[in-house]
Parts: sequence; C-alpha cells; structure tokens
Amino acid sequence: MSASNETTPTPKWMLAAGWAGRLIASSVFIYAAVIKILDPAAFAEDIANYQAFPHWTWNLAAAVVPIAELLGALAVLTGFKRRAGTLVLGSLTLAFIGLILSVIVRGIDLNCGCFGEAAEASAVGWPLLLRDLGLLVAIGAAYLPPERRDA
Amino acid sequence: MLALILVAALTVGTLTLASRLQLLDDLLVLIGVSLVAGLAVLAVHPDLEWVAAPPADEGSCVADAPIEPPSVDRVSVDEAVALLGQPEVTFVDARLGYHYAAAHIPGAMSIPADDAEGLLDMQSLPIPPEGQVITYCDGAACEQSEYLGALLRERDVCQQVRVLDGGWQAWVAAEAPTVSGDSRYGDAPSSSLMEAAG
Repeated sequence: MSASNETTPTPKWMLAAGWAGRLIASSVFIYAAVIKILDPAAFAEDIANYQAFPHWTWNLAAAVVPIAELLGALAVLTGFKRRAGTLVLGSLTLAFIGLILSVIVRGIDLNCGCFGEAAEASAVGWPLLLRDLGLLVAIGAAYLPPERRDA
Repeated sequence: MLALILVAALTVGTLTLASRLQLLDDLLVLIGVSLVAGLAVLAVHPDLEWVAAPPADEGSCVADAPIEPPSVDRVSVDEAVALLGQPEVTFVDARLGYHYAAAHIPGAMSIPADDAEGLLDMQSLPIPPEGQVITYCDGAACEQSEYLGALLRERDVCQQVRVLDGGWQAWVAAEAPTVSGDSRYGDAPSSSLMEAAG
C-alpha cells in the first residue's frame, strides 16, 4: 500500500504474463478496430441488431467504440499509458460480455459485429462468451506489471 | 465481473496517490481522444449522422439499415402449420446450428444465414425450384430469415419464398409441432445439404 512496495523487483512470471497479455489483447483489438473503422455503417447496424440501445446511440457508438479500441490497444502494445489502455479494453470487454449474456438470455439470433463481416467467428453464443472471458484474462495480465514511472 | 473489479481495485490500491491520479489522467486522455475522434468520424462519414434514424417499424431492429434486404412475403403461423408435411413445402431454419439442434420445426432444413452464401456457392440446394420455401429465424425482429429468403430467390433456388411471420417464437407460442435433437442438417430426406457439404 505504500511506495516502497512498488520498488520491489517485478517477478519474471508477471513480466512474461504481461507481455503475453499485451500481445494477445492488442492484436485482437487492433484487428477488430480496423475492420470497424473501415465500415462504421455496418458496425452501426450490428449495434442496432442487439436491440439493447436507443437508436440515437447507434452511430455514435459505431464511431467512438472502434477508436477507443484502437487507442487502447496501441497503448497496451506500446506501453505508453499502458494501464489506462488495459482499463479501456477491459471495460469494453466487460460491456461486450454483458451484451452477450443479454443476447443469450433473450434468445436473439445475431452476429456480434466484433470483427465486421467475419460472421463465422462472430456468432453470439457461449463460445463467444468464453472467447471474451479469455480476452479478459489477457487484458488482466497486461495490466499487472507496474508501469516504469511507478518504480 | 466482481472478481475482476476486486483485482483491479486491489492493484490500484497498491499505487501511490500520484500514480492513481496519473492513471486517471491517462484514462481521461484516452476516453477524451476517442470521443473527439469519434465525433469527427460522425461529422465526415457520409453514412453516419449524429442521430441514427429511428426504426420505421417498432420492433424491427434493422428497419432503417442502409443495407436493406429485399422484402420477402410473410406467411402466418396458422397457414404454415397447415402446410407442414406437404412435400412441395420446405421449411428452412436460418438460426445458428445449436438453436436448430435444440428444437426446430419438423422436417426443417438447417441453413444458418451466416453460412448460407458459402453453402450456396458450394452446391445447389435439394429444394424443388417449383416448390415453396418458408424461412424462419428467432422472432419478428430477426432479419436472418428475410435475408436467407432473399438469397434463395436471388440464387434462383426457389422463387416462392416466404418468411414465417413472428418466426420461431411465434411458432412455439402457437404450440405448433416441434422436434429436437442433433439431426442438425434436417430430419427430412431432402434436407441434408450441410451433411452432404460436410
């Protein structure tokens, strides 16, 4: 709880897990973000299909979310504002998980829009939920190592 | 979610006050830049407006979608029940495979809309071109059956295509017959498209 705790050397396992988490989370989110940025109208339609948001948020979310994904992923990958980046990606992933659960509970049949038109990888259901939970673990691992300025 | 929040809180709790403030500052920067850039995208993108157009039809999630599938005629549940079992009528389930495996209309063929284009590219469907097709997906707000019906017409598989009004939910609500099991690719002799493809 004090500054002295942060001066202890970071365990190697934490550094290794942190790097693995950074690479996994950033690559997934950069890929997802670029596809959505290239076709925001299609992503807006995907958001509408969730039947969970008022219509005035569809285009706004379609424009903002992919950019947040991209910036968060770049922060995680480069290490510049890394922890803030992991918090952004973690929040988005938690939101996705909540949406997936709501879709499963409501029995709606749709694609998540996570990766644009790559439908086979994007059908909303339990496999997608597991994938996002795995992604959340990677993001958590990316968060753990202290940032250099903390040392 | 609670566990993650707990871990994050504990980790943040180990930071000094200065580090916490720096983290908050970084977070605000990322969110702020995302918002500003997102608004810029809204301003310049021809397909996006600040406020998306509301659905033209209450309950239809894609009524205002820019990529509008061609309209396909509807068939009521009562009429569809009357057509059940007739050899010239093929029911096509557009939902995902595991929904089909859980329960479906007797004799229905499973063609998940997500895979439909690829399947149609691979081979022709065992549907008589002069027959009738009734597609269905989850409910009234589901566009998968509409899309699949339009695709079947476009590919000249069958011209007499209709969408089950209210979809699977209306069918179940009407207590119409259903079957379940993992005969995913159809329990009618002619409904083995994906089986053949696989």
